[in-house]
Amino acid sequence: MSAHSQILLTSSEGTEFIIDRDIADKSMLLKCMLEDIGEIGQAVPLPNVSGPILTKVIEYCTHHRDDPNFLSANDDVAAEIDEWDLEYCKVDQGTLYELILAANYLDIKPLMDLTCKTVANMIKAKSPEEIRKTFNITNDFTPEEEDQVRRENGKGSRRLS
Amino acid sequence: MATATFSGLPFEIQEMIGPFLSLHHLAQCVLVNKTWKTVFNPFLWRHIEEPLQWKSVQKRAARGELEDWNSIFLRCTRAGALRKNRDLIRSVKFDNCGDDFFRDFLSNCPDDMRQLNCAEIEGLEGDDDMISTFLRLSVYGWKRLVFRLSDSDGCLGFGFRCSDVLQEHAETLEVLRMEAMVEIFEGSSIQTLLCSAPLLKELYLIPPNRKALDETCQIEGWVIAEGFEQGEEWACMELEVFGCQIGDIPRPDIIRDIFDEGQDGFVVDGTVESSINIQRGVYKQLAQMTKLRQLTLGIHYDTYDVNYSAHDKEYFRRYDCLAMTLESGLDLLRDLKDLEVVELDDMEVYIQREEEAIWVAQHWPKARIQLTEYDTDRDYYSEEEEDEDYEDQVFDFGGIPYILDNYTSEYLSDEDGSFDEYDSEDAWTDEE
Repeated sequence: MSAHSQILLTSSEGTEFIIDRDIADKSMLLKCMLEDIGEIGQAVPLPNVSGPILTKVIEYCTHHRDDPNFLSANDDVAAEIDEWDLEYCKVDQGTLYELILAANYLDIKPLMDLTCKTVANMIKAKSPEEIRKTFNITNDFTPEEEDQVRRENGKGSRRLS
Repeated sequence: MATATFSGLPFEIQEMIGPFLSLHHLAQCVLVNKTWKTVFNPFLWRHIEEPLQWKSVQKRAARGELEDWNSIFLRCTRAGALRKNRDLIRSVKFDNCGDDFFRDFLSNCPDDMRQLNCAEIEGLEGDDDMISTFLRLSVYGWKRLVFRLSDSDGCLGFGFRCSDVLQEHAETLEVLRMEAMVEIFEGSSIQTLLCSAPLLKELYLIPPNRKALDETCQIEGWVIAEGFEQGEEWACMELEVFGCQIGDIPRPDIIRDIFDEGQDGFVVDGTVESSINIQRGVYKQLAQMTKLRQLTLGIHYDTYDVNYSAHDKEYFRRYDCLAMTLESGLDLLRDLKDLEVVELDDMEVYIQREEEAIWVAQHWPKARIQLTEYDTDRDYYSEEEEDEDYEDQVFDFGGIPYILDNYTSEYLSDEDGSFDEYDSEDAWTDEE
């Protein structure tokens, strides 16, 4: 197997992308597929991933191409996100969720962890009302229900002031 | 394609955010709406423990301006939180667990919790009834149980009922630590557990540093050495930490006066032969535990702050323990190559003699041996040199070959481990 062999991918709109094999191997889905069927020379269709999102995913895999700790990169829940990754995630919410879906579908764990961490950071240090605003969510609790939840989960709710 | 929203993400993807949120943030999430409560509540109740607090919060809590975590938690349990979330809870950790808190917690607990398998409890004394009720909460078996009772002369109320319940969890148990004086954990129960707990990685039953032995509270959690000879084999081949006193071994080698009163009342009677047999039984069993990293057989009695004379310290010493000499069978432990910590505090052992020291350097390369500084040792050794009869009695242990007088530095410089040879017949003849 040549390290420089290339793979052809097609996004949901039918746009074709040519990427190096080692970039494709960052995705466990593509890696297993290519190992199983060999290089067929045909395009691999990715009907769940749009062109712009696929571009973004390839950008991530290319940046971390030679990362020796790629698979364990974002394992540490408490670790700070590195600068490039932080910049990479400065996208609108829609793009961020599509990235999560793509990372999940293509099975790229470090990208999955990075994007989930980014969502988690959007939740942190916010009140329930602020969270609702951020994520455009309607409160469907009755006041009684909300009060009950509050009482059951009083633990940990002490405000950090 | 419509713009993706958080609410539009599949449930199992929303769930993946949970591990990245602290308890503080999860507690906000469950108040957002019903879907968020379903997604995040399991993370909030998976591990019950006091969240790490910012320093400013700790300070205000200490001044009484904020409600402390224990009372917030109890308020939740009274609101029915434990019963509602009974099947979500996997672990509990109470750092400051007084008896009243624990009783209150138990009274609001359901009878069982499906996923509960870890507990770490500090500060509880309790009684056999209370602790055994708690131990019954786990449905599919405990994996990890840790009790700590430090800086107190109190005693963990672990007793017969607790041992019975614990025995039912032998199949799943991986860690059992009781860093406390315990009411009673019989040697035979400990043996039975060791023989039936295949996953056990840590067994540690040693109280923290003691200032002195309180007469009303004995350490009742040690193994009687005879059990090793008669009993079945231990099942815990994964054991990495063994911390438990092993006692009741006759030690006819101890012939010096103890506390100026001879040896009677301190040393267990028995012949040299029976002593060797019993000790070999223990070593043979320990020798199977080739993954051991820590071997703690002694308890440190800190007499530094207490106004005892050097001789008084003898009261704290254990005289019915393994001798840890080559004659008594130490060499059986030659395969415990991963040992890092060997704690033999306040025990009458002779592992610091030259021949044992050489053996240790060869076979336990990573081990740090910890012994209590003990003044009377020095007296003991000066006696040894002067008194020839004494030397015979101590070291002529049933004709087991003792010390290599011819043993030279070439063995020490030999780094490929062929030191093993010295034990074989050939090596002996060669040396001669």
